[in-house]
Amino acid sequence: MTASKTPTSGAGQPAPEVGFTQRARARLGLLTVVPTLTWWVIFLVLPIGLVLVTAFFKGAPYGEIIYEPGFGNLVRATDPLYLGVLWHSVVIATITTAICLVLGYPAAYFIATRPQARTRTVLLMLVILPFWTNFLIRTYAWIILLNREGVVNGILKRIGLIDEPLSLLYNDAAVVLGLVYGYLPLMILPLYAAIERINPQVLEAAADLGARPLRVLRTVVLPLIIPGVVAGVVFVFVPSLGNIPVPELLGGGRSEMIGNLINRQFLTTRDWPFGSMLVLLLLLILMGLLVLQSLVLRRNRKVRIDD
Amino acid sequence: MSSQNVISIESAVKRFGDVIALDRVSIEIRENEFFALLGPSGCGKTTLLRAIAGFGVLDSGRILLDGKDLGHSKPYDRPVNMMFQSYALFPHMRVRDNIAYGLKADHLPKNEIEARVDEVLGIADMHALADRRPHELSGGQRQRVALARAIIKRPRVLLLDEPLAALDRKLRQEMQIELKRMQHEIGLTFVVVTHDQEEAMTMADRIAVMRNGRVLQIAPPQELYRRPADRFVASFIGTMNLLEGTTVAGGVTIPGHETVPIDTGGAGLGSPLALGIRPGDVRLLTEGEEIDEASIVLAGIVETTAFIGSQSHTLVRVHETAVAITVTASASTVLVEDGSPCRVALPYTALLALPDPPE
Repeated sequence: MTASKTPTSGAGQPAPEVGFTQRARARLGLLTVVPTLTWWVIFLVLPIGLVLVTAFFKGAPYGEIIYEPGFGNLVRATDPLYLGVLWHSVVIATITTAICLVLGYPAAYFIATRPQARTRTVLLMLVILPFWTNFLIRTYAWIILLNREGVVNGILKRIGLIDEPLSLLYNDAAVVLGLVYGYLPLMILPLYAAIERINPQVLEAAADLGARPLRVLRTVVLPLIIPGVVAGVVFVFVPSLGNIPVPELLGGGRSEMIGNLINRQFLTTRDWPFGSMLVLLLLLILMGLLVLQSLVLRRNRKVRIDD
Repeated sequence: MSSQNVISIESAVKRFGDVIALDRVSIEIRENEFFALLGPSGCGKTTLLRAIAGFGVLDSGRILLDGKDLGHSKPYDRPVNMMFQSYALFPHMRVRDNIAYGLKADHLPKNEIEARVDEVLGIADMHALADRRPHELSGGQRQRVALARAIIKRPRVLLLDEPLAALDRKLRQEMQIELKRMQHEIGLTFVVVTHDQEEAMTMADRIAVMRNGRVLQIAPPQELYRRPADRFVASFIGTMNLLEGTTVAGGVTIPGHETVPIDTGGAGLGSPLALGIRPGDVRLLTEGEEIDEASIVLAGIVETTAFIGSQSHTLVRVHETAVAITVTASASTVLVEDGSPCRVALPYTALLALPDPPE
């Protein structure tokens, strides 16, 4: 480039510069990341930094923060009451993820193996369509369906299966149902992308060599879609674990999750330091999950789907 | 039905929507034969190969293996194996595991699997690369792995879908010989699909030429070349000079010439029939030269001459019909300048009656 030639063109007489010098180019390059960097600092680094710091201060009865560093919140968080809520959240999120995987795989496989490109597009649109409605509204809709005078109880009564309405709402099952409903598309999409990349002849080759469908699934399909499975699991598990509206609306306080607990610390109890500590614990769990994800993917990196 | 037929295809029909992919196809494939399905793309050859493997159910007709109807049996239940055009290697498995896959699916004991994988690695000359993954191999190496994987179960029939199409020209020619050698060595029945007539002629014991879902002719390569059934086969296998004629009593007429006495193979009087002659059988006459044999003699102009090693191909544009005739001769005998007038002689004995292929 021009910049690299400049120094040799004359010691005393600087040559007229045509392009940017290397340093100027580097500065310009830096300029282009400024917006992203600013965004990142304001909305990610600062809040997390605040949470990190606040977590080690003390809360006072009327919402003040006492700036005395200590591990009191950490000790309090290990109280069985709070650990129980955390454990309960992990269980609910795990069940949700497992159900999404079981439901999402056949759906993704079905869509990915439609021969017509247009059919695939339409089916994918149907998967994405719910996202066009607000998550909260879709969650409310389940209340209308499931409450004691709701649509489901109404139908069951009319066809004579039940005499008394069932309590379908305000339990763990309702929370899992709401989470599965909300996040199933996030499982289907990465699975679809992974399955679609498999050369169909590879599956035929397995069958041709004597493998029955279940064996083809276990020995060929699953190993090839691991990246998609991992992505789908993370996409579903992460928002499920920290979810607030679904346990709030469909759990009705009887199935409290860590998100609700944190929410309450900040807005009701106004114990920001303790809330921050809970946030920190949640973050640690999720980071652990991401580390696990990258480990799985690294082990799997040598596999190229496009043979 | 002869007992030495491994595969008998009886009147196979397959439609995809309005398109007829297989139109009453009947073929018998013999034990230890190298059989080629040859035709342009869309002729139904791959559909037929896949039907033998169990991919795609026939609309009607039967496929018999050793005399037993394969019916609707699944691909994993058929003792035939296929080498796919894309090779379709398992990208997440090492070469060794790719090759062992078929034996593992059959739950063979571990030590037998290892022994047979070793043996096949030897045949494919892939021992040194046994622990590589497919993306670390060259095209030719992948092809050998695909072949090794397909033969390890010792199938009754090995099906090969355009096995050499993905290789470059030089490697392709090597592999043609190599495949043929391997087939002799391991004693398997090979059915290969190809659109490359040279490939089919080099490797196959017998060839079925297909077009528009129909089989036009089944014959050994030499017979296909010497006695093509119709003008499509004649032009698809090698080069063929064609003269348009009409059947009359006792032979075929072409405009401006006496009737050529030739067997018209039952074509109705007055129906169009082409006369064909291979370039090597045409004689380029020097000025004033007469020919003893009964021949069609046509006057024309030399358009171009191409020298290909020991041979020359001369293109003659015939005056009356503007038909181009290719003459092949040893390069030393004919020396004619481009644009000079000339005459070509087409001996009756070398002429072939070529009807139109069925539509």
